[in-house]
Amino acid sequence: MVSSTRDRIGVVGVVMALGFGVVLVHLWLLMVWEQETWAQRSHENRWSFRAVPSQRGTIRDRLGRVLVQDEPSTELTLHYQRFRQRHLIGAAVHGAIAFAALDPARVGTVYDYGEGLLGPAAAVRDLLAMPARLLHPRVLEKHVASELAMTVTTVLAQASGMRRSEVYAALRQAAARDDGTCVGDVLPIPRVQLLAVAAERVRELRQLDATLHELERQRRERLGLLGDAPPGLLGALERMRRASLADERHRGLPVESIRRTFADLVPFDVAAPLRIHGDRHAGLDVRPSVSRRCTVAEGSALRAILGNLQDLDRAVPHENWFDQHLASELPADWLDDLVPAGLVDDELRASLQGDAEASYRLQMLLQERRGVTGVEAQFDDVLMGRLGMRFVEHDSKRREQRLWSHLQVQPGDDVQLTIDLDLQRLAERATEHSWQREQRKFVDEGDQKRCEAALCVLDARTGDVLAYAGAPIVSSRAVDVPGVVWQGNGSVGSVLKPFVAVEQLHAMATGRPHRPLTELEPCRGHATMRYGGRPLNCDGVHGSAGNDPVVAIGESCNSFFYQVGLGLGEDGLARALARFGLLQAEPGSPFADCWQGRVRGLAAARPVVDRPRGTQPARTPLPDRAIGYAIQASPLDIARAYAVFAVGHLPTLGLAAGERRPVVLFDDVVGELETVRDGLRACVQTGTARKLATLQELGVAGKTGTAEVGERNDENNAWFAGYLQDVGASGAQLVVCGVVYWVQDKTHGGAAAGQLVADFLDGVRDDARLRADYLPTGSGR
Amino acid sequence: MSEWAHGLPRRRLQVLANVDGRLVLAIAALCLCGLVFVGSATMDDVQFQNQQSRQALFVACGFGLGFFLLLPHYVHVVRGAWLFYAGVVLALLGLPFFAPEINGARRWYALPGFSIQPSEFAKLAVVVALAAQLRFLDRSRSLDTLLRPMVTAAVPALLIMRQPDLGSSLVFWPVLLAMCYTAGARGRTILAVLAVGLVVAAFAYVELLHGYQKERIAVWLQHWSWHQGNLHEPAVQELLNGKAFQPWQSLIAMGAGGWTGFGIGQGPQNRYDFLPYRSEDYVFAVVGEEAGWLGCVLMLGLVAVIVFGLLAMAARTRERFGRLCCVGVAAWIGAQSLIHVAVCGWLVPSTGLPMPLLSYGGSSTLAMLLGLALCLNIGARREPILAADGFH
Repeated sequence: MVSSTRDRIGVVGVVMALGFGVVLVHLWLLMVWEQETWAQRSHENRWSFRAVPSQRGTIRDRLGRVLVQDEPSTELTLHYQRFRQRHLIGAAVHGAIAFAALDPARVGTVYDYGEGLLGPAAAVRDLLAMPARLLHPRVLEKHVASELAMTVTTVLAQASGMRRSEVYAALRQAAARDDGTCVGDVLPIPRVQLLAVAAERVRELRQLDATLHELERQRRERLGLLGDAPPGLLGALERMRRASLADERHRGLPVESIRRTFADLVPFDVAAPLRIHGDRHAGLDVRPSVSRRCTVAEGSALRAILGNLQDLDRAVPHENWFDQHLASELPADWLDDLVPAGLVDDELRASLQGDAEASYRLQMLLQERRGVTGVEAQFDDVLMGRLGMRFVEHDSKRREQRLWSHLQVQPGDDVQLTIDLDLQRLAERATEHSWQREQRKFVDEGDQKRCEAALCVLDARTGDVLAYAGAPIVSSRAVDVPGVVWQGNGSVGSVLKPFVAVEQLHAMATGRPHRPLTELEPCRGHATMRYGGRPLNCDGVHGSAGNDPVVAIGESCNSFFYQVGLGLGEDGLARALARFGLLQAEPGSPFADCWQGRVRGLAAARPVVDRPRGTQPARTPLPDRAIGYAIQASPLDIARAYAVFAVGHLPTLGLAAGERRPVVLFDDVVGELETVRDGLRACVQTGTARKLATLQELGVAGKTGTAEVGERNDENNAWFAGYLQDVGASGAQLVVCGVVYWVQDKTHGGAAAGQLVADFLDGVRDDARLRADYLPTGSGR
Repeated sequence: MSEWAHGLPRRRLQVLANVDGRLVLAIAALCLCGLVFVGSATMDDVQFQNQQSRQALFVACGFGLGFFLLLPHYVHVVRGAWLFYAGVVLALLGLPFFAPEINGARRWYALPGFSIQPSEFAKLAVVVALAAQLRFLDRSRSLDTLLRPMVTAAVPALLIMRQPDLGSSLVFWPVLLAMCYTAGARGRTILAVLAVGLVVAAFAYVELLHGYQKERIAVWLQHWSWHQGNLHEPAVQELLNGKAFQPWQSLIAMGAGGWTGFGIGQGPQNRYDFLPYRSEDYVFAVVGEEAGWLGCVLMLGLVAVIVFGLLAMAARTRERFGRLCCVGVAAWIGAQSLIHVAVCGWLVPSTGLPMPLLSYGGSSTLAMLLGLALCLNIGARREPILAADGFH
């Protein structure tokens, strides 16, 4: 059938109409049917929730001096993909590797960032010697040619200062000419000059690397950091070069496309040139950050007390922690405020609120830190601030264009400790000297490792922990940190005797089971009595005088306390320990309030007492326990117990300044305490601690303790616990307890631990401010 | 006395009275809309903020030149068709030697204050040349009769494809097919030409297309499998932030527009610079985002009025050259518009093709307005049949 031209035009029109129809239907499906989906994607494109990091609270000492605080700092990051594509050196190295791979004789040649024969200078040199004809589209495979063209363009553009488009045009022309020109000669700039610029860039990179290494070395030296230093810039480049060539991936993404920090705490003057000359340092970026700065030396006991932080993504304690934290920190309607009604429809609003919560949790993981040890951990709820969040609209370059709403950021609260930094330093110095002094006496390395020293200083009136050196960590690896004592190795020794004495005297007054003093055997030294077929010995021969509690305490007569312990029995000994907080009493017991479960901020071991359990007898005989064996306690607990003698009440210990803490009054044993005080004064003036002149001069009252702890009883624990009998100008009354674990046989408590306490008090006396604050008036030399 | 003694002959001016006013209005409306959307697309961009004023200048020049193109009889165009065609081909041949390389392509001659893109004028030249060639076509011939028209279209198409400018080269095919069919080629012949075109396309894909062009096709094929469940996978995210960024942002812009859009100048994808080249290659995405589906219908409606107006004009025109020119220009404007819209909606792989009279572009606007002016010239004259017409 012959069709007319009009019919044919009609057919063309129908085809056109069909085209219009198809397009309109597609547009309707896209813009009307799926509008909500695309609207949501449009919102996702430009709406985001941006976290505002919170500043963690500052930790201060007793006088308000900063111990730990957040400080703004600068970190340097590396985006390696950008570095190898846009930085002269990165492009040269990778370009040279790609070029070498084309030559069968040089396959496997790998250039690097080191100072060897195949370093960056060689890479630039060899790459510039590449024939330009290789960049012709038909010579090499497209992806190889494209890679080479990009790297060569980067090198030439950066080295010459010309625009990339101009360089690329010159390369294309040279490639098309195919006249043997090398890429280093396509520009009107001599190759020598290009190489000189490249050499300068290499020098800049090396200089930056050296500067960062030196800064890190100084910081580690200042803080006493152990372990290997981070690899630095060139190390990071080497690592990423290998990852790039191996096409390593992390969660599906090329590792080289993940931005990494290679230096932090960088001073502004070092970081600024990278920011100012950003085009020369492609791939290297400067970012603001926050770092936790500690003014206390690494490795010290105080540093251990202060503790450490960890990024929250590695320190979430349990899976419900987030829910609990958000419930406690955020207002109940925070999502409604952050994504207000009326902005979008309800369904999208619910979706955005879900995104906001997910983003908040993610940003917490990425930006927040949590204390994992020490004060940072124990006061984490106080120190940790609250992340803020901004609901913003941004453009394609992620620049904020509009702020919809925000959740206010809240900084963490400061924590002021009871620790006096100067007292703490004295205590640490004294414990270190004591430990080294005793350690040197051992020949065997194993014995040397077991020797540890610790010192605790409290304010007897308030329970404030003023200093605590050597024993803050409960860890099997405490020996790695100088002066740190581990959990405890067995016995507190004779420092326990005053508590038994109080119970004996109280039992005498109240008629509880006891052995009357008049019925005690006089002390004969060796084998004064036998128990369980074993002789019980005393270091001295005190005769009948040893039956006087004051003399028995002052001279530390074992015979007295063996017999007294037997008289008191298990119940009496338990009462003695419980009254002074060394044994947890049953609920309803009059001593239930004496036990302090823990001291917030200090990871001190709790006392452990060997005693009968049900039908099972105690492993250690009662008489031995009465003189301090099989009772493990830290200097903290012993010092707390001795505070009773100083002030007449048992304080609750604490590390946070300004706390009101309960005390346990000892009103029922006033007379007994006074008798024991006489004994403690006698111990220092005429008894087992009489050789310590400083203690006498300062009027310290206290008790020595020596417990044999070695397998063959060849080693001792040496203790001294005591107190000043008056307050200093600051209102604090010091009670001190020192211990040196694992001293040589024949080294007694007074000689080792008493000397430790004396050294500490000498230091206090030598410091004008400390003397005024803590020593009673007239305690100067 | 010469009729010129009284200025322009009354007969010439009378032609103006016969110009299809509705078509002129539709063209003017489309140009005006183009100015509005180019202005919206560039108002926040310092680099391109003079595009609206320049586009207005191009439109004014186009109308002005078009006015003067209406006055002489279009027979002069017939006489100059091959000269025009040869000039354009020479201009295309000279690009590798005289045109600067911009973004890896040589498409424009840089002149003081402006640039000329010969490929846009090549479309008009091919329409005119094909009309001159096909007006004597005997429809009883088979495929070999169409070989010369195919070569006429293929020469500039291939030269344009090697610039590289794949999008512009694609427009020549629907123009060729529409004009050949209108000229009387058999349906089977047209199918054969289509088959040849497919073979050429396959050959071009393997041998001629650049890597980035193949990647666009590959990504386009992949995107049909994307859905909300797999959009956040790393591999997909890598594409969305890389090779698929532009078309994906265009989809977001259009899809979010809904029925009525965000309002002129209020589209977030536009304002926040998520759409690169949105005043040229993706202007319809701006239309979709800011005027919604109804706005798209309006724009396409204007284009349809022009296309079908030209086809109606072709049907009314008995003279073969004029008829074929109108069909050619209609196919040109229709095909280019539909391809541009399809690209914006990612219905086809992305390619840089401006929307006629809507996108920013001096050469494109001038060439199109000249083509439309030629058609208006044709439509304003009812000429007796100049050549034997074997058709009804």
